[in-house]
Amino acid sequence: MSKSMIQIAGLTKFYEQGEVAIPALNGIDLIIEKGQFIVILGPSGSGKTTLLNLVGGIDYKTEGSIIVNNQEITCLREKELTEYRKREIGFIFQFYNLIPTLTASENVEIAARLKFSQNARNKALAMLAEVGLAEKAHKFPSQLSGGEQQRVAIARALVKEPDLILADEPTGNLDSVTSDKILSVMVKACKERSTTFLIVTHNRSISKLADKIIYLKDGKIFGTSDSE
Amino acid sequence: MLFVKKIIRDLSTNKSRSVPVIILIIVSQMASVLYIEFGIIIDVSKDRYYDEVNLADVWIDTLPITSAVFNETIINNWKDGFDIDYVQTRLFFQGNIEIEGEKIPIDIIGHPEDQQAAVSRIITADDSYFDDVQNLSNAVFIERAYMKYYKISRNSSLAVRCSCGIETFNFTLKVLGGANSAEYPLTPGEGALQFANSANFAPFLRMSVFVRNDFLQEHIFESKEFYNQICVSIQEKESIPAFIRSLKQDSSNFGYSILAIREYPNLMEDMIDMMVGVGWGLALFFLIISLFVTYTIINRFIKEQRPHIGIMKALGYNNTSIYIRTFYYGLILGSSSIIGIIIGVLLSFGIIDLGIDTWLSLPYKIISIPFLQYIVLVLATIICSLIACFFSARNVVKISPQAAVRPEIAERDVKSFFVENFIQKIFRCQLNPQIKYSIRNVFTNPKRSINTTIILLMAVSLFGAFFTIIATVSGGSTQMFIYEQWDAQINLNQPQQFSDFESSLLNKLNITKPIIIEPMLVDIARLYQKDTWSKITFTALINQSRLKRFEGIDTGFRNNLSAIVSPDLATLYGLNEGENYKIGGRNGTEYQITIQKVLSTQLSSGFFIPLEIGRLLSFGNDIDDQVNMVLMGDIEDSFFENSVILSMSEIQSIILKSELIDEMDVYNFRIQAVMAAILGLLIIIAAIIIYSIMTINIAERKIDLIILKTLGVHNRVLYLWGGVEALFYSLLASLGYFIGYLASNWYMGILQDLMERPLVTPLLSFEHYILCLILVIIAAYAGQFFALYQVLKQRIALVVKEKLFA
Repeated sequence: MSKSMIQIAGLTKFYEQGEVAIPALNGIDLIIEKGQFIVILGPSGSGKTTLLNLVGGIDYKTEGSIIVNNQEITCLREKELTEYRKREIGFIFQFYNLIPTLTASENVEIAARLKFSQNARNKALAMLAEVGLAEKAHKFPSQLSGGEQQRVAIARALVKEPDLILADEPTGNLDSVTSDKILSVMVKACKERSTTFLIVTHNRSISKLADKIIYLKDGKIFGTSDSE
Repeated sequence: MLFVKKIIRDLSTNKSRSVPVIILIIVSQMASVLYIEFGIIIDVSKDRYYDEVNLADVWIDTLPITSAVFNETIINNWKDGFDIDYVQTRLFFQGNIEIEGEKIPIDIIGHPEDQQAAVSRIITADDSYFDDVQNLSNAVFIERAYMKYYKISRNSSLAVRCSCGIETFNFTLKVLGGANSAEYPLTPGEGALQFANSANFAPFLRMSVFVRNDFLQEHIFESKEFYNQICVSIQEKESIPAFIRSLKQDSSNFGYSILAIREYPNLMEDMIDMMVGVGWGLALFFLIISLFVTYTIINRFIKEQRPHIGIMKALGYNNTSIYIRTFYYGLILGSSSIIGIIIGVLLSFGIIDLGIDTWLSLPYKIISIPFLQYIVLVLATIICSLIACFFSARNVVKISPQAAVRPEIAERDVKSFFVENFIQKIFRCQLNPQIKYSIRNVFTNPKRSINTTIILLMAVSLFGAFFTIIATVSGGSTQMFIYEQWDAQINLNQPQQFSDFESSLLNKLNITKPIIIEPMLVDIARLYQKDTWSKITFTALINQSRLKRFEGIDTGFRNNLSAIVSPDLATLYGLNEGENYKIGGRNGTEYQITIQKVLSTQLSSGFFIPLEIGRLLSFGNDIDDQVNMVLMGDIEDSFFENSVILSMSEIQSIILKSELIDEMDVYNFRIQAVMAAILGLLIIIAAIIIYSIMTINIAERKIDLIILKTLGVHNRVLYLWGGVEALFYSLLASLGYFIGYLASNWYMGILQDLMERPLVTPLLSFEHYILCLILVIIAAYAGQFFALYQVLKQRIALVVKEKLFA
C-alpha cells in the first residue's frame, strides 16, 4: 500500500466551446502524501479549480489518471463517484454554500448522516464545538458572519472524517483576522486528524502554512516548493 | 424594439416555462369560448324558433269547442276583448295509422295560421328533406324509430283513421321521412316539453305527425269537435301572471279553462344564462390559474435576470423603464388568448354538431361571434398577466445594481416552523435534517408554495369535478341495476291518456271508468302472467319535482309501500335504507313507506315504488308520473327472443331490457366520451403546468441540490426528498376535490335543466377523492422528478463552475 494520498499522472482536461477545445490542464503529474497541507497557487485560468474538480470527482478528465487512496477515480461511474465523495472527500467553498434553510448544526448533521447513521447529531455538535461555534449551533447561516459560516463549512467537511479535504479559496471572502482563525482550524484538523488538505488560493499567506506548494500556470505545474 | 427582441428570445429559450403558460391561456380561452358559444347558440336558436312558430305566452285550453273558434271574428274578439297582440290556434286530436292492418296511435297537430311551423323545424334539422317539402298537402314526418320498427319507407303512403269525438274518418298520408324523438318539441309550450320527455322515455309509445292546416281543413269537417288550444302572445312588459288572473276572471263566462303559463321561454332564458355563466365562470377560473402560473413563471424569469436588471440599472435605466420592460412579457403571454379564442370558435362548430344534439333539441344552430365579449376576455387575460408581471418585478426592481450582479445566492429568510414543531411535538421526536429541509422548503418561500399549492388545488378540483360528472353520467349503469332485475317492461306512461293498446285492454276487461289504474294493471298482469312470467310488478316513478304529487298517492287498502329513493331525496328528507317512514296520504290517511334502497339513477331523482300485484294505486293526473309494468321470468334469452317477443308483438309499448340498456348506453357513452376527452385534456395541461411549476421549484434550489450532491448525497435520496415535498403539496391540494365536487353539483344542475330530465346529485365519493389524490401525487411527483432529473443529470462541475468555487 502506497503512502500517497493522491497520485496524478498525465492529467489533461480540455473544455470544448463549440469546435474549439480549450486546455484547462495539460499533462499534470503530481503525488501528494497523506496528512499533508498542500497549497496550489496560480493566476486565474491556470487550472486550479479544474484540478480540484477532477480530484473531487465532480468533473471528468480528458486524459490521464487520478488515484486517490489507492483508488483510480477517473473510471468510476456516477453512483460510484457519489459514494467516493461521500466517503473520501470534504469540500470547503469560497462562498461557504451552506444550506440556508438548515441551522449550523443541521448543516453539519446532514453531512454527518451520510457517513454515520448513529449519533450523527452529537457528532455534528461536537464538531461545531471543535471549530468554536457550539453556542451558535442553532443559528441559521443568514444569522452568522462570513467567518462563522466558513467555520460551519469546515465542520461540515470534517465531520465525515474524510481523508481528503478540497478547499477552493476558503479565505477569499474573509478579512485577514478571520482568515487566520479559519486557517488555524484547518491546520489543526490536518495535524490532529492526519487529514490531507488540498487548498486552492490566491492568498500567499496560506502558503506559509503549507507542507508543499504547487505552482500552476496555463494548465501545467511549473514549480513546487516545501513552503514559502 | 430591442427589449421586445430580448423578451421574445427569453421566452423562446425558456420553453419549458413559457410554453405551459401559453398553452394554459389558449386552452382556458378556448374552453370559455366554447361555453359562451353554446349559450349564444341556444339564445339565437330560441329567438329564431319563437319568431318562426310565434310561441305564445299563454295556452288556453278550449276543450271542448267547435272549430268555430277559428273564425276570424272570434279571434278578433279575443284580441280586442283581452288586449292580446297575437292569437294563434291549433288543432289537436288523436287518431290511428293503420299499417298492415295494425293500428298505431298518433297525435295529429295542426297549425291553422302558421302552416309551416312544424315542418320547417324538421327541415332545419336535416336539409335533405328540403326537396320533399314542395308537396306538403298530405305529407308527414314520422319518428325514425317507428319507421324502422314498422319498416316504413320514405314516400310510402299510410292509411289514417282519425277519431274526433264520436265520428271517425279516413285519409292517407305520404311519408316524407323520419324524425328523431329528440326532435319532438315541434309544438311549443309546456305540452311539447312533456311530450318530448315522455318520448325520451318511451319512444314506442306514441307517434305524432304534423300536418298543415289546409290539409286538415280538407279532410276534417269543420263541425267536428277537436282539442283546441288558443296560443296567446301578450305585450312584453305586461306581467303574465297578472294577465292570467285577469283572463281567468274575464273568460269565466265563455267556459274556457286556462291551462298553463308558458314556461318554456323562461326555462330557455335560465339555461342560456347558466350556459354563459358557466363560460364566464370557467374563464374566471382559468384566468385565476393563469394569474398564478404567470406570476410564478414571470417571477422566475425576472429573478434569473437579476444580474441583467442590475446591469441595466448600473447603465442608467430607471425603475419605470424596467417595469415597462417586464410588462412586455405579460403583453405577449396575455395576447396568446387571441389564439385560444380563435381555436375555441373553430372548435365550437365541430363540438356543437357532435355533442349538442345529445342533450338538446335545438331548432337552429347558429354560431355568432360576440366580438365585444371576446375583446373583454383578451383584455382580462392581458391585465391578469400584467398584474402578475408587476408583482413579480416589484421586488427585483428595488434592489441595488451592486446586489443584483453579485453571484452568490440570495439569502432566504427562514420563518415558520409551525409544522415541523407540530410534528416533533406529536411524535415526540427530533426530525432529521433531511425531513426538515423538505418541510422548510415548503414554508420558506410561501409565495412559491402557495402558488404551487393553488395550481395543484385547481388541478385537483378540475379532476374532482370531472370524475364526479362522469360518475354521475354513468349513473345509467346504476340504472341498469334496476334493469338487471327485469326481463321486459311495458310502459304505461301517461296512464290518464290511454293508448290504443291500453284502450283495447280496457275494453277486453270491461273497464269503463279507468280513473283508478290499479284494477286495470292487475288485470293486465293476470292476462300476461300465464306461464311466461314468474313475477310481475309495477313500478311507479314519481319525480322529485313532483314530490307533492307523491303525497297525493292514494294507497287504498294498502298502507305499506317500499321504494327505491334517489340520493337527492334521501338527503332532502333524511331517508335511510331499510327504515320505515310515515307519509300523509291524499285523504288524510297515513301510510308507511320502506326505503328499499338509496340508489343513484339517471331515471329518477325521486321514488321508484315497486307495487305488488293486487295492490291498489291511484295516480294523479300528472303526466310526469309513470307506471311501468315490469315482467320477470326465469327464461333463456334465446327463448325470450324467439317466443316471448313474438307472442307479445301486439304490445307496441313493450321495451326489452336490452333495448333500454342499449338506449341508455348510447347516451352515456356519448356524454362520457366527451367528458373523458375533456378530462384527458385537462390532465395533460395540468401535467405540463405542474411540471413547469415544479421545474421552477427545483431551479430555485438548484444550488442546494448541487451542494448536497457534492457532499455525497445520492440521486435516489434527492428524488425521495422531492417526493416528500410533492406529497405535502398534493395533500394540501387534494382539498380541491371538494371544490370540484361542489362545482360539479352546480354544473350537473345546469346539465339537468338542459337535458330536461331528472338527474341525480352524486354522492361525495371517498374513492374519487383518493383517485384525485393519487393523480395529483403522480402529476406533482412526475413534475418534481423530471425537474430534478434535469438538474441532477448535469455534471456538477458545469453547474457549479461559477457558483460553488471562486
